[in-house]
Amino acid sequence: MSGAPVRVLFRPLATMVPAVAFALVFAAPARAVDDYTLPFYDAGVSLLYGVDRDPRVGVQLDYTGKTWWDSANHPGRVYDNHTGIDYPMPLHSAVAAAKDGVVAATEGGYGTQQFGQFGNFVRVRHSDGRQTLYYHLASRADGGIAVGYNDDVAAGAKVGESGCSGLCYGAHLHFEVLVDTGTNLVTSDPMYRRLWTTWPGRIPFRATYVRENDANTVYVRRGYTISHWVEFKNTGGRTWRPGAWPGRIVLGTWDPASHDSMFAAADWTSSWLAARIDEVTPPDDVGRFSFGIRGAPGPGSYRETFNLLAQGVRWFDHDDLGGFYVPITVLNQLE
Amino acid sequence: MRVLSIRSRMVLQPWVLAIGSAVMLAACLGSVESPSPSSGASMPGSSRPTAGTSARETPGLPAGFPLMPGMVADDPLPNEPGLIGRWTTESNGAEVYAFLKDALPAAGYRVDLLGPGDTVAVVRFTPPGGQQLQIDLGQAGAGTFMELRLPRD
Repeated sequence: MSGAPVRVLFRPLATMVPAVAFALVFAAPARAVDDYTLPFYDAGVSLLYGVDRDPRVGVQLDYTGKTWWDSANHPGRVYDNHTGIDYPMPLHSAVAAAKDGVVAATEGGYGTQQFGQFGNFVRVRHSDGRQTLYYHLASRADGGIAVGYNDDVAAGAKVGESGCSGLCYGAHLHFEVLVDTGTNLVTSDPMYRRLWTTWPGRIPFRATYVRENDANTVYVRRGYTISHWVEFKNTGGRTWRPGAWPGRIVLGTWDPASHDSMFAAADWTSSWLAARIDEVTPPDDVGRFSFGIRGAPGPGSYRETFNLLAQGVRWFDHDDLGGFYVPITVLNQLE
Repeated sequence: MRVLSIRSRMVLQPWVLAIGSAVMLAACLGSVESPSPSSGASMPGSSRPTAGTSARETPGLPAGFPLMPGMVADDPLPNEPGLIGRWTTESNGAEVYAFLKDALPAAGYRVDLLGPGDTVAVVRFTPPGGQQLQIDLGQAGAGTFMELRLPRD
């Protein structure tokens, strides 16, 4: 142990308090620890009504602390006695787990748009003592329930599809965070609590193209391998990790997904999986994927298309990556 | 200020009763058909207002506003700033929302916001050349209420 920390131990408390306070206030924020992400994949979906944090009828308190002394609807904020967050979305939109967990309950027996007191749902139990509820889903027979009781679900994994079952005026997802007190489940407001990994919340997996070592046509001699890398910015809500499973972020062939590549080099994990993310990449950081390109086919001009994949969970939106592909020209060995 | 209801006008002026009876008889015989501002031909389902709920009775209602069959106007209208009209129906909220989602564009209105919730919904729309208006839906017993108003935060 160096001497400096020991000296700190003997400082009078009065001098330490400001130092500690300074450290708490001005210390660099800890790297993102993955928490909750938005429970869907469509980045265009947004909150319509949040949680009313005041249980009194006629008094509404939204996540920002604003209070309304009425029972009117306040789009973008809240409506009276609402216990979750409403996200309007078309019928059969994919609904995703907001965090890793285990399926605690499902109901899929109601019609996809069956109006009534009860509707279809998936409820997931998380390791932090909270549970998340995904409500108004389509019927099980209609593909609305994608998981079963006691299934492990990864953050961002599809748990169902949106519908309008139960008390529902139009297709939307009612997403609710509940705290398990041991005797009952109590509503919590994920917006007010800022449970999202990022603020505001983001969809789990998203990226934008940044650059590559050669953005022009790549030339490779037949039978040889060249090194290539590409960088993407993590614009989603989950940290990219090279080793985690499920959810390991890799670069694979696309269009069609996972096709055998003619350019697979010796460093590829398989004939379609070009690379894992090089290192842990939190949201807003840039991650690099390094891989070889082998000039296997005959001389000519080609293109190989790639996409990012959270393994075991889902592919990214290829359009967000700018439709990423690598133009490749294979040259004759003798040229 | 809410206009006088048909009933109160009849009480005040008894001669209207006779004329009204004649008109009703003619209507029953099919010889008279009252024009309806909400009887757009292309509207899904009939949006023709039922008796006593004519759109013409509600001042400030935009031309051609589609009223779902079975809507009953509140009379008197609650004295609330920005409130143009209020109706209730035995239909559930999902049915009313679905009706509006189709009928408003069919009536030529621009729909600016479709906001369905659990037991509420909000729809914002703009009539041609008019100002933006807001429809709020909510539970009224086993049925649904619909309020038309100026938008609020």
